[in-house]
Amino acid sequence: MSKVVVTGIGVISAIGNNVLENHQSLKSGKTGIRKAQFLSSNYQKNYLFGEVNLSNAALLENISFADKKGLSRTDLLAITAFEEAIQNAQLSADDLSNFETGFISGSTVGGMCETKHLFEDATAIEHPSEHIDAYTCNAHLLKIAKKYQIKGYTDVINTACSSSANAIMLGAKLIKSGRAKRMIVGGTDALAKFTVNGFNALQIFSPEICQPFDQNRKGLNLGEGAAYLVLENEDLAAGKTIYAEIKGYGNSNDAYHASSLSEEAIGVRACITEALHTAQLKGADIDYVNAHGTATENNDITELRGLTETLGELPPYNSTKSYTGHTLGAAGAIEAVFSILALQNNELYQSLHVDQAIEGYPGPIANQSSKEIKHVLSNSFGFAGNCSSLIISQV
Amino acid sequence: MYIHQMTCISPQQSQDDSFIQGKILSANEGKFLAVEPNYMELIPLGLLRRMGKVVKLGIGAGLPLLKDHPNLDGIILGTANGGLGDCFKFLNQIIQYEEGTLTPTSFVQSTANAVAGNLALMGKRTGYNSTHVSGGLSFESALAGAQMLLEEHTDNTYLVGAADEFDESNFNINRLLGLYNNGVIAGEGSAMFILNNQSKNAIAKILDVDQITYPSREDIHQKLNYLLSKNNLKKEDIDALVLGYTSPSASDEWYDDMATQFSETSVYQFKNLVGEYPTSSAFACWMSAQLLETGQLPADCLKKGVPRKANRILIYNHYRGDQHGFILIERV
Repeated sequence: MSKVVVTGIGVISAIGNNVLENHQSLKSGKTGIRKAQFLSSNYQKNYLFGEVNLSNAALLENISFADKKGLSRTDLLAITAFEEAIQNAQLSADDLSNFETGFISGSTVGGMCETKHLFEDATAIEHPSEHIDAYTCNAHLLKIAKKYQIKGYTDVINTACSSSANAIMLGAKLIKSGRAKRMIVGGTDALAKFTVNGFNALQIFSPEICQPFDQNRKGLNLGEGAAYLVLENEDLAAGKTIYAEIKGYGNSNDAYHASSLSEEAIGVRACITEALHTAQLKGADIDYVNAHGTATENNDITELRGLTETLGELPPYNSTKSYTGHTLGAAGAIEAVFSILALQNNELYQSLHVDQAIEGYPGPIANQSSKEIKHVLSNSFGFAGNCSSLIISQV
Repeated sequence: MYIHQMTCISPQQSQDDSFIQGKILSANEGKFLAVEPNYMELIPLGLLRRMGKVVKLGIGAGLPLLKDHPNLDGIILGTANGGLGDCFKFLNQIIQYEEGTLTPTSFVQSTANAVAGNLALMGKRTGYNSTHVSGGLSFESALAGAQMLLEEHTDNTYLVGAADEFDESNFNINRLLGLYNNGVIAGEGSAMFILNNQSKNAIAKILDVDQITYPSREDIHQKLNYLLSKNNLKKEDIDALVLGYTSPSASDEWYDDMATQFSETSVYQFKNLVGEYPTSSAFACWMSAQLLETGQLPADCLKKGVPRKANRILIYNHYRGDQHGFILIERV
């Protein structure tokens, strides 16, 4: 079976509007978590957010869509990262529109970020808002597929916070099985009143900046963003810049609780074990872990237990959510891009805001450093027990 | 891959033989709402009280199958909209209480993966678990996901299905979008299938699944020919078409065009019995398997030709003319 390689990447998050800016922030240990400027919610003043530093109007200006009506912030983030990824991979119009190129995205919020319009359109008698066709989870995918005439397999995954990790996994499998030659995969989610209130109701927000893997962590900060990867069959990628290989993937369900992980880390262990198995690697082969690391009490301790039990000795690990906040459905893809940056440049980025490691475990990466990285494990876990792991490797 | 067991909760009496024997229910006030089972027999009351409709539809159809297959390797579902009712409930609370202190129940239940998550939780299934939310291709995508898993893990068995609920707020949005013009009726339902690679005692075989977004007429023909040739089939090998007619509606032209590609074939419809909703092709798949297994369907299903035993069926459905799905299914 031929390898699945990455030939293009695009990302927008709280720490930058493109790959270069994101890389700079990671290297300099600069977080993007701060007071939100553009989010419309009462909780803007109570909590910190990983908000993309551009207004909707500014995002609109930077995209190549002629029809700029009715695009939600989720759409805008998706289009921005998608266009960077396809330009980065130098895909032609024909590359995009032939039957063997597909597109899979992950999202949880979709167009529900347009809360006000959604509420009004739900009861309007006539005269819908311009956002009327933007609310569904797959609205962003349809808009991009229409504009770029994508005629291969299209799909949107919602497995909560592991959505885009599953999108990447599925894209790799479509290529491996010969169903597609090229897949653009990733995810998008914008900050939304809906999720801000949901997470607030679940009482898992940190009152201050989040501290993933700190003994005294107090919860998460919500973020937003999008990232897409161009995956290609190795043969198709000949002569192109190849960033990495999607070498392994695993998916499982913790089957324990609607919004927290089992103490035994059942789902966590299962997805990591399967990822190692598909990659034909041993735990000791993993050089760096980009952890899910949400900074909730439950996630971080469970993840460390699962990692230790599957990998043996814990390799250097961090949570880049200390830079971006938790970007929900986009997290798996954003963190896959960050894993690729680490892999390409042999860089380990500091896990921010850690004063005291979790008792019984070594702390996360404490300083910017360099190390030869051959294999990265990237974890994503979501509500309803959805656990996924990816192994991204040097080619 | 082979269907070994299936269940269907729909606006028809599809949980027993009534529908197949021709006892047809009609739409009520322009809506086709599901005939729901007595969930109390299936779901503990404490859980049931918190569940939104789509979760109930999904559990109602899926849990009996999980109970019959305790060693199931994974759950793969399609739902375009997930818990719409809970989504709007939570949205209304946000507005009504001006972002005050809210209970998280509706928020948690509104996430699309709550159906597959609840099934995993209730059936203690820690294997593969995924939820496809690709609008009118959500069920087709779930099938494609299962197809790839069964190529990788040839001895495994999966629960694959779809669920979508009717919701008044969403109905209003779709009405404003013009989805219900020309008498198109809204529907809902859930269908679940046990799939694996064993032919023995199977109900039917799903040969293949494919899809295309924003196609031209020519793209559809090309896709159809590709799908048939990939499966070593000619057009005359297809002896029944199951098409997503919502007539009378302009987008029915896609179906008329497909029907003209197969001159000798019987044509069946299903949306006149369950309405239009994004995962209605899961009902079509259930109905097609019934036709292959029993050789009979209610007269209302027949659109063109004579009712006859079918060996190989092409299900072709589109949603809003934008997303087009194909499922090939044959007799075992």
